[in-house]
Parts: sequence; C-alpha cells; structure tokens
Amino acid sequence: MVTETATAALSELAEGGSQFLTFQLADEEFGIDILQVQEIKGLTHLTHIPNVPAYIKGVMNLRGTVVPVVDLRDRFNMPSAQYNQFTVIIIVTVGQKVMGLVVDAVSDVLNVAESDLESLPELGHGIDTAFITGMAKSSDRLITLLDIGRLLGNTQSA
Amino acid sequence: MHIDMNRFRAAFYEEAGEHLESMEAALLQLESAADDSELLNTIFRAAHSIKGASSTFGIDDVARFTHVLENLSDRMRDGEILVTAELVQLLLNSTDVLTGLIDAEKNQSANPENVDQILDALKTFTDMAGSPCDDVFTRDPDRDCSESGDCLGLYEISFIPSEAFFLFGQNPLFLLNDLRAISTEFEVEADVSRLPGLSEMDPEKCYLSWNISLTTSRPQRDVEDVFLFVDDATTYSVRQVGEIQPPMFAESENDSQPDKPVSQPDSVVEQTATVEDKAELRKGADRRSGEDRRSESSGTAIAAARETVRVDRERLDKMINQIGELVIGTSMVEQDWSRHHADQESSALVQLGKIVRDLQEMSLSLRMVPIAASFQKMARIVRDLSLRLGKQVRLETEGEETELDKTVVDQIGDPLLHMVRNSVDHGIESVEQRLASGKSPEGLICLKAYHQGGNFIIEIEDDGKGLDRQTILRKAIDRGIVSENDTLSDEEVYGLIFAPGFSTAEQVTDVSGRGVGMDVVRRNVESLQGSISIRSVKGEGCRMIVRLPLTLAILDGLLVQVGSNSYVIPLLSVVESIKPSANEIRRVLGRGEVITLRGEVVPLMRLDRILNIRPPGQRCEDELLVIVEDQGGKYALVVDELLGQQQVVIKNLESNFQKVPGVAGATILGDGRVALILDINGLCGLESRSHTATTPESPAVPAMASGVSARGQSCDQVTEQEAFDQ
Repeated sequence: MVTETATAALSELAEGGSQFLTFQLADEEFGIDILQVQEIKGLTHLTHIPNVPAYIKGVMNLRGTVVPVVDLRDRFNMPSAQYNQFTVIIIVTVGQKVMGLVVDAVSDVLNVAESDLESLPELGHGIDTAFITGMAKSSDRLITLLDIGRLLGNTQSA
Repeated sequence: MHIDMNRFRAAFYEEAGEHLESMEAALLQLESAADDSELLNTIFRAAHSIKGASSTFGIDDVARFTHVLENLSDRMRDGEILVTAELVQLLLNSTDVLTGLIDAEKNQSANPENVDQILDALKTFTDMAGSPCDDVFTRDPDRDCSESGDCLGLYEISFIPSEAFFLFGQNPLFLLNDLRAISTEFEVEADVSRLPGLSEMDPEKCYLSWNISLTTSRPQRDVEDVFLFVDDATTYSVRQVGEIQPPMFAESENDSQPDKPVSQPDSVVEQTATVEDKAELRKGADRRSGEDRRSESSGTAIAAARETVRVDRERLDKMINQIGELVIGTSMVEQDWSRHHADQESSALVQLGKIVRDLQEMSLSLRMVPIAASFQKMARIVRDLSLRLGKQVRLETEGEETELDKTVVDQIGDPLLHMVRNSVDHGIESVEQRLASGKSPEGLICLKAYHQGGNFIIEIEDDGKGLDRQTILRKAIDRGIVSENDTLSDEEVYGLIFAPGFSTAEQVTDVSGRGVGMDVVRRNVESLQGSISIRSVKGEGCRMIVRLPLTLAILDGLLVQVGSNSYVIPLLSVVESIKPSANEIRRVLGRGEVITLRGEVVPLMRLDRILNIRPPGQRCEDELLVIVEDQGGKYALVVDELLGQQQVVIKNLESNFQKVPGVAGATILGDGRVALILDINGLCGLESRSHTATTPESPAVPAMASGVSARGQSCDQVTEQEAFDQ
C-alpha cells in the first residue's frame, strides 16, 4: 500500500513535472508539493501541549482555528536552532487537517521538469526514507522532496 | 429546469423519520387512551404525508405500504375499526417495517423481510371491518342527523387544481380515490376546457379540473378533509346540496349495536362491547369537538411548518463558530482600545460589545432542541422490552420540553438507551418478585429532565431492586478491580458498575448483561463533558443522574496561569480556590502531597509536573490551589496565578490534531493566544499513572479514589506514530 502510493505519486509527478515550495533546514534544502501549502506565516505564539512528542511545538491560532505546529528540525532529529526573524511556519493541509511546519527559511517556488526528478538512491540502513518521494535537480542544487502526509504519520490521507 | 432530486430526497428521509416518530409516539399513547381522536388523526396524517411524498419520489414500496396503513388508520379514526392491543402492536410493527423500507431505499439495501407479512396483516384488519355498506344497522332516531352523519348528504364538489399541482408532489387521482372511498354514490366529471393544444402543453402542469357529485354518510368536514393537504393555489368548494333520510338504515358502523353481529375477531368484539358503552355516551359531543380539534391542529401544524426553515447543520455550526470568533475579535478590539485610551470609554465599543454578545446568545439558542424525541424512543424500548421479559413496566416522563444542544441530544440517545434497558432488565423485578416484596406488580421507570445551574440533568429512576453493594463488591474483587482490604464508599462501589466488562447480571441475556453497556454509557457521557452519579437503596430502587452541559460550544472557565502558559479550568468543576500556607501541604509517603481542607484530605495535583511545563524545583513562590470536584472526589490543582473568569468558545484539538489526555479542548483568548481547556477527569488519569510509574512497588491497586474515575485510556508513552495517526 505504502509503496504503491509512493510510486503513484512519483509517476504523477513525472508526468508533467510539478511545482514545489522549497525551504531550508540547516544547510539542506527540502521541497513540498505547492498544492499542499496553504500559506506562510511568521512565527507566532505557540501554546505548549503536554505529553506529546517533542517535535510538536504546540498549537497556534490561525484566524480562529487551532493548528498544531511541528518543528521539522526536531522531526528529522537535526540539531535544534534558535527561532529568529527568518523562522517561518508553513501552513499545509494534509487531507482534512491543517498543520504548521517550522522551518529555518523559505527559499522559493521551483518548477521541476519530469527529467529533473530522480528517485531516491539507497542511503544505507538506519535512515528512514519513507517520507521522501524523490530528489529534484535544479542547476547545481539538489532538493529533497517530502511527502507531507506520510511525514506527519497520516498515511491514509496522503 | 434542473431540480436536484437528491436534495429533496434527503429532506424526504428526514421528514419521513419525523412522521414515523410522531406516529410511534401516538401509537404508544393510544395504548392507554384508545378513544383519543387526536391521536388517531396524528397517525392518519403521518401515514398520509409519507404516502404522498414517497409516491412523488417513486418509492413504490413505501407508497404501497403507507397506502394500506393510511386506509386502516382512516377507518380507525372514523371508529370503524376499534383500537385493540393487537392492532396497536401490529401498527407499531408496521412503523418498524416502514422505517426499514425507507432505510432500505436510502441505503439501497434490501427491504426488511417481514414486509409482506405485516402488509397482509394490515389488510386483514382493514378488511375485517368490512366496507361501510356491508353491514346493516338500525337507525337511532334520536340522533341529530348532521352531527352524527347518520343520514346521507348529497355534495357537489368543484375541484380546480393549480397548474403547479404536480410540482407539489400531489396526485389528483389520490384525492378522487379518497373521495370515492368515503362515498356511497360517486360521480365525477372531468373538465378539459383548460387543456391547451399539444404543442403548448407542458406535461408537468395540471390542466384538468373536476366536478364531483357524491353521496356520503360522513359529515361535510370529512369531505373537506380530503383536500387538507392541497397547495394554496388550488381551489375547491364543497357544497351540500341535499340530504337523504334513509327510512330504515344508516351506513355508519359507528352506531353498531353490541348485539349485532360484526365480522370481527373475538378480541375485537369483546373490546367493542366495553368501549361501545362509553363511546355511545360521548359520541354526540365528542365527535364534534374532536372534529374541531382536528381541523384546528392541522391548521396550526401547517402554519408552523411554514414558519420553520430547514438549515444544514454544518452551515449552522459554521455560523455559530464565526459568531464565536466575532466575540473574540470584539474583545480584542476592546483590549486594544483600553490599552491606548486607558482613561476614556468608547460608547460605540460598549454598544458593539453588547450587540455581539446578544448575537452570540441568540446563535447558541438556534441549536437548542427539546429532549422530547429522545424520551419518546425510550417509551417504545420500555414497552417492547417489558413485553419480551414478561415484566410490567410503566414509563413516566417529565420535563420533555427541556431544551438542550442538538449535538448533545444526538449523542445522549445511546447512553440513555443503555440505562433504560438496564433498568428494565436488571432494576425492575419480575411480577412475582415484586408481589413477594410487597410492591405493586407494575414497575415504574421515571425519566426526568430539567435544568440546574447551567447544567442539563437527566434522571433515570426505577423502583426496582436497587444495586446490591455486596454483589458488586464481590464481583469487583473476583475480577481484581479492587482488593479485599479496600474500604469504599457507596458512591465508589456503585461507580464500579461503569468499569469495562463489569456486569452484575447473573446471566447474560440478549438484552443486557455482557458488561459493555454501562462502560459505554460513562464514556459517552464523559465525552460530552458530563458526569453520572448513582443513588440506590437496596430493595427500593435506583436513580441515575446524568449531568450534561447545556451546550458544547461555549464553556464558563476559570483562567489560570502555570509557568508562562494560561489554562482554562471548567468552572463547573471548580469548588473554591485558596492560598495555602507552606505548612498546610503535607507529603504522604509515595502518594504525593495532600492538604487538609476543613477536615477533608484532598490530594494535590501539580499541574506543572502533570503537564510537563517546567522541571520540578522551579516552582512559583506563592502558589495557589484551585479545588476542583470530579465524580471521583476532590483534588487541589496547584497553579501560579488566577487570571479571572471567562466564557470561552470551545475548539477541539481533534479536528487538526488528536485527543490529548488531560486536555478537553482549546480556546482562543482575547489576546489571540491559544489556551488549553483542562479535562479534570483526564488529569486524574494522568496523575494516577504518574503515581504508579514513580512507585512501582506500591500495591497493584492504583489510588482507588482516582482509579474509579480513571478513564480507560491507554495514556502510556505516546509514540511518534500515534501522535498523528488517530
């Protein structure tokens, strides 16, 4: 089931290419399907939620809706960074749910042609690649494409 | 013109459901008041309406079934068929079948199996009474002709349907057939003068009109009743043009003499004899007043129907939500204003605030509906169940008109059903047992609803054998839920019946006793932010009190601060708040801290620890205690500061996230921040878990007081996967 959707997603991307929103985490660049992005917000007050995994930073108020916010650095077990004025929250929709992702900075919107998409090379054991749909090449950049649905553990709506 | 039939269909299903409900309710009342003509009218109207609508949608099975039902109920209200227990049972069964048929149509599933059987039974009943002219009776010379309808009236009717007649889902043929059914002589003449040429004709319009002359034994009102449901643009007139006094007989069966043979089954004849006398006495007066009442009430019903608008629930909820946002927005503006203009008040802002709050109140009342429908369903359950179990049980209801949020009403049905079932099955004794213990053979279950201090209360009381403390305790010890050395209060013992898998029934019956019921009841009630308590006296009965919030949309809360976060504690569970002196708080070995409050020992719950807000040791110097009460007992929540009392709009965390133990929901404060609403019950669960975790060598029974109320949640380590999966 999981591999099926992954291949389906990849072949769908491959057909005509797609647009991705790219962002920075440490010195790496990641991309998510632009269709899943609802908006980009500056960092706002987050309310702590007790007894949930540490990468869930809390909930924020998005015009009256309570939205959980995930720190992607924490989610990927990268060293945490101090939030600063460039830190932004990308609001994404996964199925029916709305969530926020804390990233270091948003880079740009990238058109990726079919030919520039590559499936993920074998990275060796111990590295979880289930939520990576592939890699995209753009001039000299290499961007890791993420499957938000799977990343947030919400496989059924991915 | 494109008409989305599916939308109309949805409305049909909804309306049919309502009609069936009212039919069922009327039938149940009919059991005790067999001659109430208003009830018979209700049944007839329900059948008639469903028939009309179902044939519009081409749901033939339903139309055919209701047609028979309508005929039968029509004859019942005319007194041609007398109401017997057997007949009521049959009609109740047929409402079930009809529900099944409509569900089958809705879900495209198979029709219920017993349709034909019930249909045949209905037809048999209808036929048994014979057609009005089959039997011949002597005429009572004293009776006033026009009142009783003994003599034959000659009527001329002109019936001119509106062009849009078909669009209203009406069929002139039905009306003509109905007229024919009540008349002895019937002539109809179609007027085709309005019929246009073929090229101009619109098949969806009605061009025909009819002139009818008929002879009937019924009063004029009955004739007019046929046209009860036609649309406004349709014109009709019913004119009495003559009267025929038959020398010897009248056709109406109303006047059947008890000694005259009637082709009815024995049971009916017996009933006839007893009811007849009463009926004879009252008929003259009653018939008339009954008629008046009928036309009156149908008049108001129609008027009422015109004044209501059906709105999609989701849209309504969205609007109520938005108004909630408006309230928050307004208070943000108010705060802003007072920050910049601390010394002056804006009268415009005050005015705005008032309007907005009025608007919110109004919007919340939109969702309020009376609990009556839920109670009505219980009447049927009690009746069927007591028949099946061979018990005599009477259900009394009180406060059915008490209003409650629709969401709550929808969700309270199941728990209510379980509790009522439980009362009938386990509470009420068999007739023999009741007589042996000196009670009346008939058991009584009383359903009560009322408002009390911002709460909605439902009480389910029975006068059965009550809960047996010893049996419950023995079972609980057997199952290892409590240990033998525990001393429990009555309340705690009764609370045990809500433990999962707990049943005191000696035998598992098909009704209850599998021990799932009460567990589900408590979970459902708790998910509605409600609570249940039980009072019981052995041998005398048992009373369950369900406490529910009036609405799930807003909450009166106490805003507190712990660390840098604000939390909302539901005001309903707050008893008081105190500032303890340092030596009042005592440590108890392995069981944390307690405070003695006017002689009562209350355990402390440190919110900062339970909610993982800050590392222990970094405590606020002058902490405060908020004493909260939960069905398990009192607790003292340790907070840094009280920020005030506030009405908050509840947002659930599940819609975008998941359920978090100890958190009932979230809300948005005046400054735009999100604050979590604490779930006292869930906090107790977290607290008892942390105790067992820190003191693994303590006895297996986790703090009994909170163990009883601890929810069945598995609040073990939340794994990363689970966090978003649910």
